[in-house]
Amino acid sequence: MIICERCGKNPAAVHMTNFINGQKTELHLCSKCAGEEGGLTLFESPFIPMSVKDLLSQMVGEKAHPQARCSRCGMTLERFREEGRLGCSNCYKDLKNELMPILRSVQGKLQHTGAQPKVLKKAGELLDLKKQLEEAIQAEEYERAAKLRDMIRQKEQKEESTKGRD
Amino acid sequence: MPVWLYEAGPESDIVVSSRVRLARNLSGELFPSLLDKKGADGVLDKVKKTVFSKKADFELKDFSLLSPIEKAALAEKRLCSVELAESGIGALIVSRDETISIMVNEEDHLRIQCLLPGQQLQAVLAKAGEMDKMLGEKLGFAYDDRLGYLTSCPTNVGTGLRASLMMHLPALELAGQMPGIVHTVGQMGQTVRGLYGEGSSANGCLYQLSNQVTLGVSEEDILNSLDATARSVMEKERALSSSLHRQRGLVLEDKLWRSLGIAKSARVLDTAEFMSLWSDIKWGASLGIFKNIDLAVLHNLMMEIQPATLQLAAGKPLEAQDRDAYRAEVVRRAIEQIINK
Repeated sequence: MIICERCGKNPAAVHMTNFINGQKTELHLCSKCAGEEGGLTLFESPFIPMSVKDLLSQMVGEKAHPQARCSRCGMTLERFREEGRLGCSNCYKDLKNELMPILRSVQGKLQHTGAQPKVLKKAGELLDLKKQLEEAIQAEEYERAAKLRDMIRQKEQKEESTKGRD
Repeated sequence: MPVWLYEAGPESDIVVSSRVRLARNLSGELFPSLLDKKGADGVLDKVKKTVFSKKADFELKDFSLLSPIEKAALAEKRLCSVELAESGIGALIVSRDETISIMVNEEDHLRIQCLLPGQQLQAVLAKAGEMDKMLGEKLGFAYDDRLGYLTSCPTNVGTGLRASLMMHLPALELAGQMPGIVHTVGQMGQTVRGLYGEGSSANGCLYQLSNQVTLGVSEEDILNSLDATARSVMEKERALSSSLHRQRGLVLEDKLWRSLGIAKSARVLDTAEFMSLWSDIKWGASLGIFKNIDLAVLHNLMMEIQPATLQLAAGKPLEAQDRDAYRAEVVRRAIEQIINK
């Protein structure tokens, strides 16, 4: 049990994380002291996932590769477990083996059945690839750029051929 | 004018507010945790252009121009998180009636939120969904056929939807039944959390019921099952409350009347004491012991007495002691307004 950091007596009931000038601070308070702490309000806690970080750090997939790294943003499994945040949408592809077990235990099912973005889904993917291509060229990663260029071509051709069907 | 000031909404004897939040990211951009100021401003520009080209009744809150108290007051109104206000790259776009707010560059590029009084889950989703559609069509969101909307944290992937109800459950809390309810609800892929710690009178008997799972369930199913849980919790609360009133009427009424008396007369009130008085007054109103209580005023009072909002109203920073005195004054005025109606 965590004891209130202010009075040192009661069990802490409110856990706040603050980012001030990029510096993360954590504060654990009992409800009495929390009320006296100026910046703290009744409404902060509900939407902060409860210790997701701790949860994530306990979960490692069997196929997880410790050296796995997102080719786009450089996110690693280690860093993700530390911060609890991914770096970009491509992390879901490149760190798939590492993330799937986490998704399975957090979410249960692994197939999205909710709403889909209607209009710009395909265009969005294309935009994403083009942006990645730009980045790859800038970073002089020509092998990756070539792959991306092929993918973009493929998609554009596919889109051309399906035009007029719907 | 904020909708809170004149409306308490359906089922407002128990449900104080309904809220949904949709997590979205722009496809092709790094997630906010890796964005520098320039990248973040780029995202904000796109969002601003889209919103302001279509909607006139929205405004941008520029955190770099706001005082710490003004920022904290926005968080107290639940329009944004404290993290966003302090992040240095975050921004907030809010509708004038304060029902819709868009946090930009928080954990995800966009957190589209809608908040309405009472049980109005369908309505809040519809409103947030409209904004989501408008922004999505223009900006293009990161989306995967299998995993749905891609979010910075895997706990939000799929629908990106977190829906919640703020509920006042004094009878269940008094009878010590909340731990059982927390446990049962947990088995439904949902959570109930004390808004202000659990098992102490300082929490105002307020609980937040929300969905936990976001992938593999549709938005409609998430809302339906939350609604079903809320109904069964409300039924239990109402049954227990009226049975307590029948069996221990005098004791209960004495407790609630005393709280109203203190709220009417106190010269110093800290937040914790206020919350327990507030809870009793609300309970008394729900049981019909206090007649003609305007629930919109009562619910709004809870926001007005928060530290930063209080200081904004006072027009100057107040030390804790002065805040408690000013809080008591605000509460006395509100109670008088409620009673004399």
